[in-house]
Amino acid sequence: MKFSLNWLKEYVNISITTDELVNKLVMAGHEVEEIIELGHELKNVVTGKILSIEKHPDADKLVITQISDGTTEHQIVTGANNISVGDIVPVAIPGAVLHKGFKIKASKLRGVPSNGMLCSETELGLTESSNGIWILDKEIPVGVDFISYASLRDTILDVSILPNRGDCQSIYGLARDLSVVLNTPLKKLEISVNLTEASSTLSFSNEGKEFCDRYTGRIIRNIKPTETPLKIKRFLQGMGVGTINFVVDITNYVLLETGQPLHAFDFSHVNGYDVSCKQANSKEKIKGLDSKTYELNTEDYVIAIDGKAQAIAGLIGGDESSVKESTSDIFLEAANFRSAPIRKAQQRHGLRTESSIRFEKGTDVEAVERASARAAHLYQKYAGAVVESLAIDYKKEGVGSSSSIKFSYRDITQLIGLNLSNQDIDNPLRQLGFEIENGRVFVPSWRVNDCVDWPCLAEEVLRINGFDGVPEVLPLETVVPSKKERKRELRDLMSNFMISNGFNQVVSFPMISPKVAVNQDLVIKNPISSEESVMRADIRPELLRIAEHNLKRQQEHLKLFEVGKGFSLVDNQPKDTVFCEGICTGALFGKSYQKDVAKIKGDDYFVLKGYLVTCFKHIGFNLEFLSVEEAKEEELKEASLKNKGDDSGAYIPGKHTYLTVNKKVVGEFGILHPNFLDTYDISDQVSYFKLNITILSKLNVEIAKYRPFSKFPSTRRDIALVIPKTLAYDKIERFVETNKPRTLKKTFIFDVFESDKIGSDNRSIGLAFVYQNDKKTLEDKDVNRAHDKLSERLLKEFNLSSR
Amino acid sequence: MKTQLESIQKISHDSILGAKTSIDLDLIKSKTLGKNSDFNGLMKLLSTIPKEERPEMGKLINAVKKELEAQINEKQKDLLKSERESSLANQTIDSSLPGIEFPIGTKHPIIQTIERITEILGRIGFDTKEGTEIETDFYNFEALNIKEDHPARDMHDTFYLNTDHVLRTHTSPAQIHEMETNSPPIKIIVPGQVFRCDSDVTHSPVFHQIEGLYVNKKVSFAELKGTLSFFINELFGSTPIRFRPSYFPFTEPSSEIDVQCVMCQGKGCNVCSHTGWLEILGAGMVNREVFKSVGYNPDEVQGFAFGVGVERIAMLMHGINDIRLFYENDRRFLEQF
Repeated sequence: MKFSLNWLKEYVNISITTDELVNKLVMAGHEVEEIIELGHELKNVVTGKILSIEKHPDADKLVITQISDGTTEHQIVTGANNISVGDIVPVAIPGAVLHKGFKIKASKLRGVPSNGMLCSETELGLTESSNGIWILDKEIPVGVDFISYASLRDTILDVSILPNRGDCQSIYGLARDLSVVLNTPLKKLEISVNLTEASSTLSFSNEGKEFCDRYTGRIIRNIKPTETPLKIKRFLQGMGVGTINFVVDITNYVLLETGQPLHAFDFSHVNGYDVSCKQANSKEKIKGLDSKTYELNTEDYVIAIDGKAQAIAGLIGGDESSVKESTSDIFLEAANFRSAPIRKAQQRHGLRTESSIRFEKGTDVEAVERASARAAHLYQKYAGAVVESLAIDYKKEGVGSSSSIKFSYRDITQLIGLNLSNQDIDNPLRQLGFEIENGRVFVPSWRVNDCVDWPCLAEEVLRINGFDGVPEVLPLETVVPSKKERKRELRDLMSNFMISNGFNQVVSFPMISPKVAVNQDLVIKNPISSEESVMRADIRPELLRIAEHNLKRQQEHLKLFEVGKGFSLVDNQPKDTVFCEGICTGALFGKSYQKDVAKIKGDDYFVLKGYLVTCFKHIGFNLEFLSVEEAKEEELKEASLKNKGDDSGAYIPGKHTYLTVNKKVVGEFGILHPNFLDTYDISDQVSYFKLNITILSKLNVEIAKYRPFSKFPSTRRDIALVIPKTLAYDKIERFVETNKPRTLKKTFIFDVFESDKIGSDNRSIGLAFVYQNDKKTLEDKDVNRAHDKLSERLLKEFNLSSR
Repeated sequence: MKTQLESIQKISHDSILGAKTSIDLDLIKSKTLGKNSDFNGLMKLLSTIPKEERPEMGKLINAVKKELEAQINEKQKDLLKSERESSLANQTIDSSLPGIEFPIGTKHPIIQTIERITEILGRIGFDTKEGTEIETDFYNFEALNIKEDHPARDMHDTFYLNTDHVLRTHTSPAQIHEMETNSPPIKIIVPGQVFRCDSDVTHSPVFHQIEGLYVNKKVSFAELKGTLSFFINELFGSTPIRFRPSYFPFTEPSSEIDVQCVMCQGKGCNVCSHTGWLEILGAGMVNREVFKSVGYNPDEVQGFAFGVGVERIAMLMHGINDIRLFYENDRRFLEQF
């Protein structure tokens, strides 16, 4: 909210620099967001009277004027056509500086000397555009320094008023707080009115018991046609409010000054005497001051005169009864409407007015009458108006009775943690308008919405006394931290593994585009963009989007991972699952001049499989695998993985495998299908994995137990099996595992190859068996016996041959 | 016989010393001491000399044999050494070529910042907990004393879901969950993602906060000040900080905490909007209404709470000027941290 420094100075004496003031405001909770200097470059502008206007001999569009500043005459050539002899205008004399630093010098225009310039409002930095020279009121003296006379120089402070400080949404309100902060007295609003008895009896009925707490209205007659005084115009403009006409300008002026919204109805257009605050009819329409038509419903409150709505209460006046240039008699409303319904009405109509934003944060019930009188005073002072006493003076029962809080000095001292004397507490509170009596504090009317419990008193004491004196104490109480949450522990272990192995960690948004979402269980009703409107089930779409971003920028050989959440609906309740997901593209070691190194692929199925086994070993789990054919939908669901149907086509068939630990599905990996990757405009091969950390966190890792190892030498025997391609190796592995002799310590593959020589349906797998006895050196014959027996059983079991 | 022995010794000695390569020396060895060597012949002749001379002669022969063997071994060592040297001399490399680049990943700067903060606060006993992103209106607003028509709701541009839920606008709902499930004393921090419908250079619809909560029988603002001063000092070094009054519905008194702008040292620059200060924290004493909403008696407990904006701190620490860089995840960005 904008505040004019000149205007603030009308109520509180400010003798410090703007920077010091800003600092004081900030430290009192009024954050200053911007400081706008108005007219600070202006120089040498005086008021002048036009003595004569003559035609320019050589230019049709120019005239030669003689201007008097009271002592000297100036010849000034101008192109203006709205001036007449006798007009009083702002004159920039040579040496003057105007808006945007424009300098005025004596010169010649088409051969005629011109010593200065007549100014428009635009040239003085007041308006964006103007129609010709600014013709001033005839009463204005000639030859005065116009810059100070018209308050053209001002500093505007854009202050962020906190939601609880509705009382500071006005010049007077902020000045009141500032007077305490600066420890200087607050000047009173000038209110002196010659009241005339009310000429008409007006009735008021309040149907909005939960809406309208206070309503006053008075009739003001015979307002003479008046130009709004320059200073008032300047203050309005400085605070970002346009000037309209004298009557309206005054209501706006008092609103900005006191924070109490006022509304003036043209009394000649209001032919009735029954005023009411009532619920609008459904679909009732009203045309506002802004010429827009608003459709109302029964949640809206209107101010009706003789049953006809003339304003949306607290929000905007109606067009029909609006004040015109010709208006001389008005009905002036000052009322207090509650914040909550005003807030809703603002949202409903998409309208925030100077009035509604003040009602929204709560206004002072006691300010109603004062503001009405202040406006009346100004109408009388400037336009000789006849001011009648209040014709309506409604106050809902109980409203305005004093509000008090029970407190103890000890509680406040203890909460702050600083030894304060009773006086240290009393002084700031008293200055702020609180009254203290027998352990109770009476809250001033402008703070009742804000101060409801005793800690707010501590807040005020801190705010005014400052935070600097409060000591710094570390809370010594030891609360034994719980065991590190297993989810976090796993996340950290996995992240560290991934990072050590070349993966870059990413962080992405959990909201994705419906185009890439597998389901739309959880949708954002009010997204910024539909691209971010569905809660993701897992991280894959974001990883691929990030991959696409990088690949398009020549960032190849990617290894990315994220630990993040996926969301789903279970029994109509949102559920989140922590996943660790990652992708690889390109070469494992990136570009390398070492040919052997460059050859190693990173996007390979077996590279990823190897990574995952190692990663799980690092965590302490034995990772096992489950083929897509063997996996059951319930298992996938339990692991928060997509069911096969929903995700069909994402992987290249045969290059997709589920991961298990202790027979429980915990994740999946594979090579993504190029057709699927088309959605993301990715042409590189991409390998992808997904691990469910939530599930893994529930699995136990047993503390390792030492097993003695043999001191005796081992013996290796190899066998080369010719096996049909349809037979998966893990079947052989499992058979060996269950049928192995006690001396077989280790099995590994030393060779896999395919060749026409062994038939195109076959491949050869070379297996090495390592035998070892724990108690003695094995003799060849014993090894041979065991190995032959195992080989024989293996060949027979799968009907294989060996080479 | 003795003369013969001396002669063989002499000849062998010379040829051993004259050997040029280790292969040569192997040949010389078999020639000198092998089956068909003169030396071996001499051994065979031993039986032909008188019995009484045999022991002495035998000893002599053995001594010579040992000596020759030692010479051969010595020579062999020398030859192998020099052969290895010359072979290595032939296998030169350009040692200035770069090493193989082993892929090493990076931790996202947001995560690094969270870890830095949780580590610091962990040292003074704050336990890290997890919260949940999808919340009900009750946890995100009501229980935190932000009633339905509270103007503070304007400060929270809330995303609403198709269910009756919202995406949490702050990490403060974690306070409520913690207090509902535990009794004081409570000393926790909760990092996490939060959501606001707002987006520009300094605002992202998704960002991270760390919530802190300390609840005990008696807790003072001085303890809040002590905790936050410690935290900021550990994070930024001894940078000037200031507490200034603010407003949050769930704390009273409330404060915002600024650090002196790390970019301009308080002189005023674009980053700090020429104020010389940067806001990094919101904090305050837990509002008594919040205690009521979790069933605590506000006359029996007190506490403080604070919320840290992680992105802001990460941006300051690393000199990052656009918040969107964090979520674009360009590798050229990620690799810098």
